[in-house]
Amino acid sequence: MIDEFLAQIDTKKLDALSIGLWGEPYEASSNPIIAKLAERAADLPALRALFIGDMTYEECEISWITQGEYGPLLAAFPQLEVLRIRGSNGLSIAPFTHAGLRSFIIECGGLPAEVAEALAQSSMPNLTHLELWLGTENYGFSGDVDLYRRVLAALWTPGLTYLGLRDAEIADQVAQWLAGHEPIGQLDTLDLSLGTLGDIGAQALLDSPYVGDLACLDLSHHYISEAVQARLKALHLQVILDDAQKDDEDDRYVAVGE
Amino acid sequence: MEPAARERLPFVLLGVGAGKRVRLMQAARAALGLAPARLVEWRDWLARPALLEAALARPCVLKIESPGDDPGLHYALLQDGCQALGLAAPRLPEHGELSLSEAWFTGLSRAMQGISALLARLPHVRVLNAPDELLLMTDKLRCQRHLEAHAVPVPCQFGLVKGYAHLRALLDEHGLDRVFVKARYGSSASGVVAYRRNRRGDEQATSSADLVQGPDGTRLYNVKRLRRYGRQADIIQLIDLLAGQQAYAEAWLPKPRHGNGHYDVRVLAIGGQPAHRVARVGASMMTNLHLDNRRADVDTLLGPADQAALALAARRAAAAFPASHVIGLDIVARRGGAHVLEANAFGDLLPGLLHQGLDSYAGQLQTFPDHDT
Repeated sequence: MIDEFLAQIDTKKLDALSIGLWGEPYEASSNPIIAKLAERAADLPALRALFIGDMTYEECEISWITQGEYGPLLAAFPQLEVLRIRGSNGLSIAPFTHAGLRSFIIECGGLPAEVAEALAQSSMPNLTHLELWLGTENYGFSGDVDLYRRVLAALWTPGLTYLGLRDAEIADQVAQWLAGHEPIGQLDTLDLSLGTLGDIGAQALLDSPYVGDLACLDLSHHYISEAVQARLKALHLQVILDDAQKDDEDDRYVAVGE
Repeated sequence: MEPAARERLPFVLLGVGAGKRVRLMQAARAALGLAPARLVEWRDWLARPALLEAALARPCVLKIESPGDDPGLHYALLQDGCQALGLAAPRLPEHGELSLSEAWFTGLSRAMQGISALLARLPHVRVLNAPDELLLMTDKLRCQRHLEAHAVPVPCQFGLVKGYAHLRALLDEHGLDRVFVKARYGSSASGVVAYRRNRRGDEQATSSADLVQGPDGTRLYNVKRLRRYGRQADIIQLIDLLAGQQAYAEAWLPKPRHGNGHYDVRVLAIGGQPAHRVARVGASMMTNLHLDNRRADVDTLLGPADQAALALAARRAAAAFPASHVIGLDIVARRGGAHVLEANAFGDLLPGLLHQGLDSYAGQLQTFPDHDT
């Protein structure tokens, strides 16, 4: 299918490619696609942005999407600037260095510790946008704040302007950690949306000496009480508090769990 | 002799005075320079049936509004239905609870049959929405079969579902891995489940029904925020509880995509013609507007072929209900074809949506023949 598509276009000019539903994505992994793209890399000199797994909830549950091994892709496209991966089932990335990537995004229902571990040993010196969906244990999340502390230590760059640790069931702990993490002051946007952030994490952000330097704090899909929301809104930056969830401890769930 | 000036007939509304529908109708009448509708409160009429007959004594137009705006009415219809079916008096359902839907529908049917009988005796009353067609639309399974029989494209129907095991057997029989299960009686995504499974053995259900375990068993509640179920035990309970109140299965049609969401279109058929239309874009399986989905402009989303298919399906569906001046149709238009997902008897509550400069209420008033001739 990729060959068919590439036969119809001027491959030398193709700068962005989004790959959606492949057959039955819960059965077939993205490996054949990755292999094909890597094979055709020489024909795609202008390719800068890749989205693999562009499927909606309706087309395939995010937790049912089977991904693959991204090493060959990263090696074949040193000039790639944007890589967006949806789905973490079967996802594997060996530690890598990539000087081209400016945006690196993994969207999933649960990010396994092995992937985060590999990222903690990787380097993307020109990264400006780092977005990881942590998800829930039910759908493959493992790891803790300490692991993500190491991920951030490895992937932090002086040019980083957006950090998203989203869809996290450990959102409160993540917020508590980041609130005390001085470098976040250089970001434009800190995105802790889609997760289960409550008053504990929100309070830490309010008390943070660094949050005030952000332009935007995205906390959409949250469990923050009205009173604490009001104090967040009073901050001198854009605080997005859309999609408030019922504050019921037992009823908490992340927006994209599966 | 000069012919008498054509007088507009008085308008009688069987409705819930405190609800939005009556308020919007009265506002539309005022905007058109028409006298206010005479309101007969649903609950008063149930208690004193003679009220409606008195209101309809002289030539007039009657519109039957949804009883849904008054939770007390739900209980009244439920009690009446239980009595008629010889069931024990029901307890008061909690807000949003899905229980005894069949008995509720029996109560509604008896009320509508009462109006039908009355109208048969009062030929001078023009009814805007005939009670028998209104009932036909509220029985969603019968409605789909009725549309099918009138050559209106609807999703493939798999009939009543007896329970979870039966649902799985139906999927096996038809070689499918995804399906919608819908409560037979109701509307507004009430009791709707989007179910899917895969060959790896995963199952997933997304529903507007919330499963709540209580001391005296498990209950279902309609919730605006869709619930996701991934555990088989929950899915079994959900499907079995819905099936216990009658539920049917139909094919899960792919909806066209817009951004990260998908959409269908609510088309209001007025006088048999497609009028108001709005795309309902949702980031979840059900796109009903009260479930926090976004409205979008149909013209910018659908190409000419899909627009034409949409209009044709709306006309055909409306023609299947010739005595219903207003019908809210939910339609999926895609790749030049259109399928009707639902026909809603009370589907005109679309505040602020205009067609040819009129909202849904003004539009239905303008087009309904309410002059003495």
